[in-house]
Amino acid sequence: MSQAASVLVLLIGILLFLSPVVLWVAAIAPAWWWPFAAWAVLVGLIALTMLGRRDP
Amino acid sequence: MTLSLGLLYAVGVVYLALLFGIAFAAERSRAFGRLAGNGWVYTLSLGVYATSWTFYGNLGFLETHGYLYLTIYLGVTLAFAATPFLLRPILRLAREHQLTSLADLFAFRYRSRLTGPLVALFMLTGVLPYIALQIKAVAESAAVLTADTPPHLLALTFTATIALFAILFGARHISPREKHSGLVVAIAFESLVKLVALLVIAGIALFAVFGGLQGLDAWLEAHPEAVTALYQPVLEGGWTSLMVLAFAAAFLLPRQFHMLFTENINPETLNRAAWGFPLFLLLLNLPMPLLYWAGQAAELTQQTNYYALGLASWLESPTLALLIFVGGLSAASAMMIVTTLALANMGMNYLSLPASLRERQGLPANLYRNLLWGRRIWIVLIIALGYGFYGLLQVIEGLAQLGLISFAAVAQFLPGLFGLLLWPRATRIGFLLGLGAGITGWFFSLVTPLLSNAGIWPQAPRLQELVAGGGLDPWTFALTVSLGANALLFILGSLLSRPNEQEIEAGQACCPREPVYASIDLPLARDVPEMEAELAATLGNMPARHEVQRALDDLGLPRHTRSRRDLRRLRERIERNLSGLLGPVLARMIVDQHLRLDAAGRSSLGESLRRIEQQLEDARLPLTGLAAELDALRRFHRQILHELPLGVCSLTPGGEITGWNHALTRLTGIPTDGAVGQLVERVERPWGGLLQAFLDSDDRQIYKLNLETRHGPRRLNLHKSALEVTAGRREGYVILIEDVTARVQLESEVAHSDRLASIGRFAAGVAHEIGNPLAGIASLAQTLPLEDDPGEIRDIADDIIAQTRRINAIVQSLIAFAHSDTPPRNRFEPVDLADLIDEAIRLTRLAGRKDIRYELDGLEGLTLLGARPKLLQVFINLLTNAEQASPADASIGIGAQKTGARVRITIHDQGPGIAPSTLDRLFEPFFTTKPAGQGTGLGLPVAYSIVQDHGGSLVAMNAPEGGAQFILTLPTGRNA
Repeated sequence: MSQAASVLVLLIGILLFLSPVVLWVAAIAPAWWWPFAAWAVLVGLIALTMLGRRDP
Repeated sequence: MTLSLGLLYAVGVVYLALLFGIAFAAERSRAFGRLAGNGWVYTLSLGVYATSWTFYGNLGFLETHGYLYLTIYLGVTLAFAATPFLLRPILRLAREHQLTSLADLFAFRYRSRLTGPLVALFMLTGVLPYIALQIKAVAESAAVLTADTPPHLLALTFTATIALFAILFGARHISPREKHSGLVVAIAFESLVKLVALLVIAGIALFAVFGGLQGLDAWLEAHPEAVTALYQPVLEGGWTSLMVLAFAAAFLLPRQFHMLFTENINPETLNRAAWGFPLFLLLLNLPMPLLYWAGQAAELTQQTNYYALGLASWLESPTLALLIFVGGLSAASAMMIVTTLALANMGMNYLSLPASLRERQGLPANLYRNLLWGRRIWIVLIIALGYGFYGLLQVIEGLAQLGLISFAAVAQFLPGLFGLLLWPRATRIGFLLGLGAGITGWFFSLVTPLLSNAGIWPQAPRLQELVAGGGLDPWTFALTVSLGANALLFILGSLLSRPNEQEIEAGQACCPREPVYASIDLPLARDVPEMEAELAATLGNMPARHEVQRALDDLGLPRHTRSRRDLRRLRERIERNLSGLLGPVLARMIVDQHLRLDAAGRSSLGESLRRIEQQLEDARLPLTGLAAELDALRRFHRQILHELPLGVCSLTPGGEITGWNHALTRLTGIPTDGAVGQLVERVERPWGGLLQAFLDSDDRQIYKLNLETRHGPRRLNLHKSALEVTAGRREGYVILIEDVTARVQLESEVAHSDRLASIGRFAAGVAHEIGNPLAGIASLAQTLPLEDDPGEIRDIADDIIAQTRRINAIVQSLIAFAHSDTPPRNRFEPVDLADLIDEAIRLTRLAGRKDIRYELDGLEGLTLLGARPKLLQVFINLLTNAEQASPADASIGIGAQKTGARVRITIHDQGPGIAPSTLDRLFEPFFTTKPAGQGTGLGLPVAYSIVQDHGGSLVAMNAPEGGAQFILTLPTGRNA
């Protein structure tokens, strides 16, 4: 996948963990495992962007 | 449950011995050592990020700050999500320029003698407390298990063992540019131990305390404040600041930089680590809330940081307790080993070596030995300082807080790093100003409050109070002030100062968007031994030889090379290798001082263009717009040159070959790579000698040069032009070499055929000319027996001899004419013109007409320089042509005149002249106006070719008074 995909995933990461979404989720106080689930999704997306990449 | 201190000692020693064993096996065994290049091993080795702070301190941080503790790992995840445009470019720079530490990276980019030492000192100051924290965690964890005061002896023993490990497996090689596979495998093993320990204790606690997941859910339902307490601190602020700190720490902490970049064996493993490492961190942190709630549910009395140990004690499981203790030991030891190595490297290159250089006015003798032992001394010093700080930390609470102070320290490098990657215009002045401001802000916003709170410096100024920043949480305030001032001064300082040449070069090297146009100046050294001798003045004989040989091996260059281009590449490579050994600043200083460039000389435009071409090819960067079009045009023109059927060789004014096309490679057998960059005189014989002699001569062309090559004799046409692209300045030369061997062979065969044809024409005349004297001889022989008078007999004998001589002359002329080949030009001889014309007329008359009169004028005393038989063929062909065109009883005029070094000969007939339509085609092979079978059309072309071979000219025209006129110009011989 291209560099554009990495940028997109980084933006998703920023949206999930560096934007007002964080405060909104904290205010709602969902299940304790929610941050870990979101984190796992982000890791999965990073893995997808790295699959098949061949860098010198 | 308590454990004995002796048991803890024993377990600690056994575990560390196991670690030694793993590292040793990885160093010794090739198969085991290959693990270090494995993607998962590399990923796990990055787990050095998770120190005692993670293993123990997370729980304490979670208790006071809830889910804010996740920022320390989520920030890392974001940094790794940016691998393609953040971590990969840094890895590329580190590998390409052999940058082995953070100080190297910044010293390479921001070329100032202050950069490296400032970064090294700041790192040492900022990270030492973090080392002390690890020792504190090990001592406190032992105290928890022994229910005693922290055993300082244990801490000391642990510290000494770590120092030994760092020396044995981190400072084995002379230079930090060498990889330590044993260290990587050992650190990866420790990460695995940490992860397993936490997952095991969490899993057991889940079932032992809550009875499983359902039990946990039930407990949480009964204690809803447990979950709320995790989220509430996030709303109170500090989330973003901590994320930024963790983002920076992910790759700027010395231990992270060391494992990510310095010890990276295989760049492709970074792709695996980009998601593998965040996954590792996720798994490591998932048990934390569980452990905390289990500790609460079990009503543990231990400090929250050590709930994992407390749970093991609560479960009355010594095994579990020892597992957790070993896990904590792993976390602490890994951090200490790697951080110490990274700091020792910086201390050596930027604090020790420069001081030594100033003191001794040179590097120490036995350079390699000194570097190795210097590094080891730094390791011991840093560990000792860490232990000293540990003593100070007895009065400071909170593992996490100390860690965050170190994070905030490394975050000060963010502006400089972004400038390095994205802003070629950034200058060292801007970097130093920004970093200075950042350090000041960091110190007065984070360090002084800590010292004040601990009672170490009660009167220490607190910046947040001074500027009335009480509304912000301390981390946000500290980050805003320090990073804000840092970034502002970095930008202003860069804009207001001008980058020097070195900075521009470094900026271009770091910026990923543009190809690097390295210096086009050539080294002054003429050969490799000279470079070695120059380097030895600073490095010493053995290190100089070793470094030069290493660079030669890296580039695959022969030791005897004298190519300026090779020497320049060698110089660049030596600088890079020395950078890995001594840091980029010292390396640059040594190379600039001892391997000086010929700055006064000027490379030709051709050489500059060739360098740029080579760098465009090497960089393989995608060009767009006008640059892409120009590059396509460049490639097209280069392709044309390479595919020309003529050999093309271009040279600088100094004789260095800059171009050598495919045709020339086919002709000479010398590949383009083998010729370009060489001085022409060094090219394989005979080509080097030929080209050099042609360059030195005044001739612009040489025709049909005879050259003996290993493939046999070749006939070559050479043409030379000077290149003057810029007004008045010679940029070089271009030489065209045309292989005309086949053509000359064909011409020779054609000439031979023409001669044979001529002889055929002569046959009837020869028979007649020989027949007459033979008849005379027969008649005289018949009267001889009848004579008695001796005088008469002698007269008859004389007549017979005269007739035989006449026959012999005709036969010898024919033989000589039939067997003639053009000798080499250097074997041309003076030929008497009058004599030559006489013989030509005689031979022509053999086959020609007897009614034609020849009027000769000015032939006496003139000499031509050439091959007599060939010149004879010319005149025979021309006279035959003139006779065939002449009417009955006509005359043919032959005149000659000496003009300078040449003789101008005119042959004029009284025929009808040459039709204008045929004038241009007269010398064309096989062109004839005669009916088929009556002419070969080769006579005039052969004559033309022979005249050209003699360096002359032949022109045909219609004479004003009527008839055709042929004008030959030939070089004169001696005595003319």
